[in-house]
Amino acid sequence: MPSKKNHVTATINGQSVEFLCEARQSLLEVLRDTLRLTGAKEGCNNGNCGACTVIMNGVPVLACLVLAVEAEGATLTTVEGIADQGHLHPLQECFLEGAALQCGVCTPGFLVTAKALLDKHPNPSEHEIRFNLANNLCRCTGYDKIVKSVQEAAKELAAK
Amino acid sequence: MSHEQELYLGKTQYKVLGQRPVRHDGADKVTGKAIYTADITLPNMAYGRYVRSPHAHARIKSIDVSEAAKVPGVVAIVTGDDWPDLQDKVANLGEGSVNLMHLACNCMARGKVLYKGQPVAAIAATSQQIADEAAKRIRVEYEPLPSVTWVLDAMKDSAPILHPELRTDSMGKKGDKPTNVCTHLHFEKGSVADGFKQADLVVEREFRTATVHQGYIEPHATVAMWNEDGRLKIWSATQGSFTCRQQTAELLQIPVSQVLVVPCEIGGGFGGKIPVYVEPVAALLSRKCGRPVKLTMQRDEVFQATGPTPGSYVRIKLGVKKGGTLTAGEAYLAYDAGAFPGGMIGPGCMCVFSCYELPHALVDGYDVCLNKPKTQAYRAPGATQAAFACEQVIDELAEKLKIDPLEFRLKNAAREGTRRVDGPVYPRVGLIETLQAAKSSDHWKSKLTGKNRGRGIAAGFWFNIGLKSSCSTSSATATSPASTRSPSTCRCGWRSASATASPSR
Repeated sequence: MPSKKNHVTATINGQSVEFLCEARQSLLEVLRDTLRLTGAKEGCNNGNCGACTVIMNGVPVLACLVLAVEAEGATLTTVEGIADQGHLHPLQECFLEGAALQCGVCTPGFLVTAKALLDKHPNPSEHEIRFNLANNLCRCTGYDKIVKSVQEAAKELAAK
Repeated sequence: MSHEQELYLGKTQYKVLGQRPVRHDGADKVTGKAIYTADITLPNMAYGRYVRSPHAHARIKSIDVSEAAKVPGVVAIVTGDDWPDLQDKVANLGEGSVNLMHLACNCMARGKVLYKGQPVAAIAATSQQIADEAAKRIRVEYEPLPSVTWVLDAMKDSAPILHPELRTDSMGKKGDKPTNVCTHLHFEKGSVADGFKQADLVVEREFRTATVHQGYIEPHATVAMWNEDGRLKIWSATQGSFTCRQQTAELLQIPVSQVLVVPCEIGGGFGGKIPVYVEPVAALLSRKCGRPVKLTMQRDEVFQATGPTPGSYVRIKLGVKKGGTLTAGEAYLAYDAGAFPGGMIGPGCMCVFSCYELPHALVDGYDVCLNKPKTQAYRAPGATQAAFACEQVIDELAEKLKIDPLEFRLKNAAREGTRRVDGPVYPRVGLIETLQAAKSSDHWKSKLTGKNRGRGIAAGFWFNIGLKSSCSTSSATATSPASTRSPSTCRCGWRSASATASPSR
């Protein structure tokens, strides 16, 4: 079943990246299998769990529901691109301090979604945080610790 | 206040206990560096896909793989015929004896399918897409059979029979007719008739619980590499690398010394990743094609064909004196085993009344096969259904007698010397201390504020098996599995309860 491949150029985690993909391939498949950025996880492959969330042009998207060809010209941030030159992002630090993760499979999706939120709304209410994280499922810790960690991170970012 | 009380009330400060260290694998997990099984890619790796039953109960008439085998890129196809003959083989797998034929059929059906989603074949190809497409060309012809999915229906004489050879084991005696009831357990203490006569109030209630999946976010995944020298290396999302190794060795009838299991980060298990599903299948595919094979489930496959906890029917009857002292208890528990015998009824029967001092008690439990996936461990397997039912009736008694539900539990709490209905006499169990700690806690005492706020209490019991770093020995007998070459086995490496700081992997 060979098919013609498409050439795509995108900026991923600050780097210009080129890749070839089939028209049918999802962004998640290309990130994980072609570019070996395995931080985004496949939990359901149908848009339910949010573990594959990445930021595309400032907006959190479910990489399993985005075609890789749609990334042409886009700016993408994955969980691998959140830390800054050897320093964890306040969100990452607060998730660690607040025990907001256990198994860690949902964590990249939560972090990326929360980052997209804080990038746009530095001081969200608890309700806004919960609303924005509503598409991410966690099975281990429950959501309170995650929400509290995002609140803490917002405070830390504001203090910087 | 005694030292012990201060300790359990959290008033004693320690350097280590009571602290909240950052988890040691945390940095890996917040940066995307942690390696889960599905993240692994090996050179020349092939990708697997299952073919699963669309029927809840059917005879497999034929499997035709010829069209699928012709698809360019397909490197291996496995069906039930590719497995060793495991008839009548039993293996001790740490939590008890397991019928290997049943375990193998749960990984891949032979002859009959017993639940929707049961694997009937698997295929490996040079890409995931080719495997997905070629799997659709495997033709399976079924003869559908009547199915049964509710435990009480499955116990009826008229129910469709899943395993024609199955006879009920009732207290060691085998039944004489085909049935879906695998086991009948019976525990008795004192005389319940006398106990209920002494009661001023008797409440009896029925409870039905649903089948619930463990729901880990990471689907089952494995990479298997079976080398030409006979050595098998497996990367897996497993809760126990050693049990995974042993199950795989037993199912494939190879020595455990030939199998190496590399446990990767696990994306949740909650009991559901103790049994093997994908590992032996990927191994067989790898042996056939001479490449490493990655086999991952999709979300719907996880829900259809792995886990879950048993659905159940539980009936509880409790008698109590006006002053709030329990006099007698009777429980009837019927639990789904799923498609194969060996569900969670044992712990259910042992735990149902385990929190209370009951002078007279009687428990009947039934382990029942039906056309749903084989049930697996799930966070105190079997105990939760029983506790849910019992605690509802305890609450109702307290309410009817106008006694505070915590005080009611304190009055009847099991303590050192209490004999559980299934036999053991407790050493110090700590329930009274726990209830007292709850009673003095702000979580119990503080005023409720806001709309729709309530407060409840329930007690539960679970055994401290200590599997995560313990040794167990078992004597070898003539029937011991060939793959276990040593007369005693040492099991460790469990990742079930709290190998790290987390209470719920």
